[in-house]
Amino acid sequence: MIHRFQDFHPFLTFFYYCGAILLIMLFQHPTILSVVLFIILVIHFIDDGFRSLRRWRVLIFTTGILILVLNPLFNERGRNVLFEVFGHRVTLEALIYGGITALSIITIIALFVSYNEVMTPNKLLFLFSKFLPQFAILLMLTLRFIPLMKRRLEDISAVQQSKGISVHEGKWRSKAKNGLLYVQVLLTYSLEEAIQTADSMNAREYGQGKRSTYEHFRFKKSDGIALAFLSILIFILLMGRFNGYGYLTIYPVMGSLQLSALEWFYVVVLSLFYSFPLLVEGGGYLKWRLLKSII
Amino acid sequence: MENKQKLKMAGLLAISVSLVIISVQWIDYYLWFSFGVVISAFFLFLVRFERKVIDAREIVLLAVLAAIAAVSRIPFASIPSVQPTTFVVMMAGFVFGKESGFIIGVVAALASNMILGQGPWTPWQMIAWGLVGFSAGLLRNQTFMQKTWGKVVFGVVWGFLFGWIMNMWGLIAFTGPEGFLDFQVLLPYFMGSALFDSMHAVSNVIFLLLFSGLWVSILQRFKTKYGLLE
Amino acid sequence: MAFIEINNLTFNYPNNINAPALDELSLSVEKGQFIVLFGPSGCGKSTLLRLLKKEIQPHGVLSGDILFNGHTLDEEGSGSREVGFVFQDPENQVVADQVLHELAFGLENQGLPTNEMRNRIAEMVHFMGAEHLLHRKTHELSGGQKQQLNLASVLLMQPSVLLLDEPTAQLDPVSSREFLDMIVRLNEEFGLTVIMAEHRLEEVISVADKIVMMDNGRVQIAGNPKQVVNHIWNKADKTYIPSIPSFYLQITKEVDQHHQSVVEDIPLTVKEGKNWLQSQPFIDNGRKSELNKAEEIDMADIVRVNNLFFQYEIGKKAELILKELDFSLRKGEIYTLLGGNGSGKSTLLKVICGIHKPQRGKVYIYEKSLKRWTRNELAKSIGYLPQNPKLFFIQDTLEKELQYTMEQWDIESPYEATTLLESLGISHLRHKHPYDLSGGELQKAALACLLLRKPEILLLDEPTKGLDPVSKKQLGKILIQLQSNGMTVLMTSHDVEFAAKIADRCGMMFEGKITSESEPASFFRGNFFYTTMIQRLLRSTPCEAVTLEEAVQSWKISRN
Repeated sequence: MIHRFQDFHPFLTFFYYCGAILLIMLFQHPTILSVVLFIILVIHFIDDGFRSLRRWRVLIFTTGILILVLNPLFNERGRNVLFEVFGHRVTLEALIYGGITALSIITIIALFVSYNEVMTPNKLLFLFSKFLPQFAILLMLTLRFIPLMKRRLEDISAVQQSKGISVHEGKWRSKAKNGLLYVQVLLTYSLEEAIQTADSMNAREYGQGKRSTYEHFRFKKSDGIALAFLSILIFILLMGRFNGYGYLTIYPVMGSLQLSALEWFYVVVLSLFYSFPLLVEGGGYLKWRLLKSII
Repeated sequence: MENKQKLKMAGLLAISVSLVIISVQWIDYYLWFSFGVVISAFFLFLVRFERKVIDAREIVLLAVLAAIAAVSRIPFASIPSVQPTTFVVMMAGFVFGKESGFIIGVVAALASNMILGQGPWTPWQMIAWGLVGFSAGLLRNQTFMQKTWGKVVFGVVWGFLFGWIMNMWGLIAFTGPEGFLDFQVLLPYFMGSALFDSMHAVSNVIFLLLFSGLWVSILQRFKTKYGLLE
Repeated sequence: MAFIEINNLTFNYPNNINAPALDELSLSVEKGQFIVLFGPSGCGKSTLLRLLKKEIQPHGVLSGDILFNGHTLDEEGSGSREVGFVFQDPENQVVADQVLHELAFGLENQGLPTNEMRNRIAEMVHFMGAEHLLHRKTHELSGGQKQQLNLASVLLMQPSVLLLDEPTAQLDPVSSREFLDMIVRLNEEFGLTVIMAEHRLEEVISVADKIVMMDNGRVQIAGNPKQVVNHIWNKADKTYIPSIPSFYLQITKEVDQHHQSVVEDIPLTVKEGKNWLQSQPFIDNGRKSELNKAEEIDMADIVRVNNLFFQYEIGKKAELILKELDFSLRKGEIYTLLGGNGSGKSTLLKVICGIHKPQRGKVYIYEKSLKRWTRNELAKSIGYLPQNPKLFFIQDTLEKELQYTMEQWDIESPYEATTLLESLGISHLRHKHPYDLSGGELQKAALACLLLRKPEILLLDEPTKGLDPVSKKQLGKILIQLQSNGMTVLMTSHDVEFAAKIADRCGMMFEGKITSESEPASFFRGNFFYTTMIQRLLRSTPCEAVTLEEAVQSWKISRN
């Protein structure tokens, strides 16, 4: 588990993931993307031995392969023709182009899997309550209602089934109709009941004065330092990218796949950014070992 | 009031015109710019929502509708390709107006993604369902929406449009950040999703024809009951 | 000056000008009192409570005064903000997805700083002993825990008066006991003033300082519990009086028609009852009437369940809800399944009516395996009434629902529906929205729609939940009536008094199995905790009665 990263303030973790996605979209180069993907896989491995990632493997592989195959199939542009099938030109450009997009999609999905592990609904709700408090209340109520509605739907389908109104038998149209009848019962029933929810909010003085927020998380000094660190890395990388580094031109003329020395520097900076969760984990572990050896 | 409306229209026009100019001028950055516009419009909406004073009943009502939209797929688990969420959001927009419709669509998508796990599709889903609710609210007073053919067209259009918006994240994947569109590449992609989209459109139409009258009257009744009179 | 003074309060809902919800009502409450309001549904209890809490006052025309410490609710310093309110339904009051968020909600609304919130929550969680629940999701809590959570989040706002609107109506007996104990503790140890609407007097009558009977928006009588009980016995509907004082009053009246019972002597608890009982003669063990009834029952099984296994989620770790269950239901009997929450009672009903498919084991209905019944055949022969009858209705009036049912089952003569509604006494409700009906009316309406398709077996899930005593009595009558017309009834219940009164057989469920089963008299005599008040009272006597009627009868026999 990457505890130390998860213990950071939600704003910091959110910042990390936003930055991570932005950088993937900016640095479209096969070598760079491979390095990034590798680091993210390492994070997953250390976190839970690919357990959470495995649930998404079907999506990851199918999108990846689909993009890789489809791109050269429909895209004939490019000067380096590899071979021709039935008068269709398969170009190196299209292949590399597909490879880059497949790589970035896979990397983004892998990143989201880790995001879902770290940014719990609770943390996201907290972030919203800081910036959009009213929206956060709406979101909280909705999150509270969803499991309730699920249970009500189960109850409704039980009763209606016992009355002979079923979604499991009959024609497509009648099944669809009965299904929406269930939803309609849910709608009337829930709207009727929810007036009490509003009353219970009013009885607890909702909307009577200025609201405060329970600080579930505190922005600590370490959060500040980490934020500064990540911001500086992003700044360096953005400067580099705007000066034209770390990016493979494919059309009209494909650039060199080789990275220049300066570009290798950016790869290092990029790796520092992406491996931030590993760095804090490793740093913490070292500190702990050091303390132990002193005692 | 009328001036304000005109001002809004002028603003909208200005944005669209500048968008066209920008895209012609810097065709490479077309996608980036349109994302920028979409995202800022999105946040403007949220800020507007934040500024409004909303009492307990109204916020509970929005939450109930969003939650129902989010779970409405469950009874259809055994019936593939039926998407009732779109219908629920449409009805909400019809009765409670464009802003409430938008918020309900956005929250329904966000909340269900927060429970099921988020992915790159989350923002697109939020925008797509938000726009479903928004457009339903925007067009609700048009005479053609009272007619059967109007509803059919509306349902069909959203069946496909929804799919296209959802394809957007795949679209960037196919075009790359260069922001360059190759229709030859896009065509099969959109064709592939057209099958699902047409099922979506059919279920929209069926629901609209069978249930929209009843749902509007149910929601109207609660609108009065919750004391939300315009 | 009393703490809360209500003078000549009259209140009309906007849609009902002619019948006031409250009619010239006056009541005074002292600081630290425990007040219980009771009366039939629609008597104005809830309206009165809501009028006392400014933020949730209903819309309508109000006249008369409500004074807190001599101030009206609108005045500064009246302390009306110090009123806490707990509603009936545990589910609907919850606004947050997580327990901690829920607790903080009211405090955030008051704009308190985080430190203050944290202190208060820490204290409250400790007081309630709920540390382990703090980070749980609210939807994972049981009904009882949810109601405790609702209470806690109100208490965090430090009220000096607590208003409770039938807070235990939706809870099972164990959770309801726990909840009431908490309220008593708050009243006794912290001097919190409590005003509670409740129609199950059994559990609160001995702890209340004052009980108030309401009817038609007026106070019928208010005073200390014993006085009120005595008064009702002589004047009003006896259904409200719990069984122990009822037993006492009936017997003393039997001894001497003109005897004016001494109010202080009326026993309210089992302990007081036993003291009084020592002076009474009891020899007989007569339950003769019971035997005759048992003979009438056709012994043929209508439903048979063999070695049944059921779980909701498939997988090794998933909990088995029903396990090695054997059960049989005889034609023409009323069978009650008793047992704790999660023992599998409701699940068994759902398996029998084909909603859930068992993983293993066989269910036979009329000796035909359940698998061979089509959904329509099943729906025609078995009527299932869920815990919450609101979910039964698809249409927006009872009339339309009946129409819809008639179309679905090809019933042409409208005469059937009319007679059915008449026999249930709900003809006047035909054109109402189901959700506008009271709990008892709603249940009858759902029964009407069920009975229209002429099922032979009726499955009822917790039919007495939330019903007031009058409706409960009516339900008992309806079920007995149906039985005499050949209906077989299987129901689940937490209500031992009701089961003892109407069931032919009772079964105890525990961990997915039926652990004991027999007719009510021996069933309840075998139980120590899970039994009726009368049985607890008479335990050490030779009398074997379990219901009030039996006890009185057996007393009469032993006296002669």
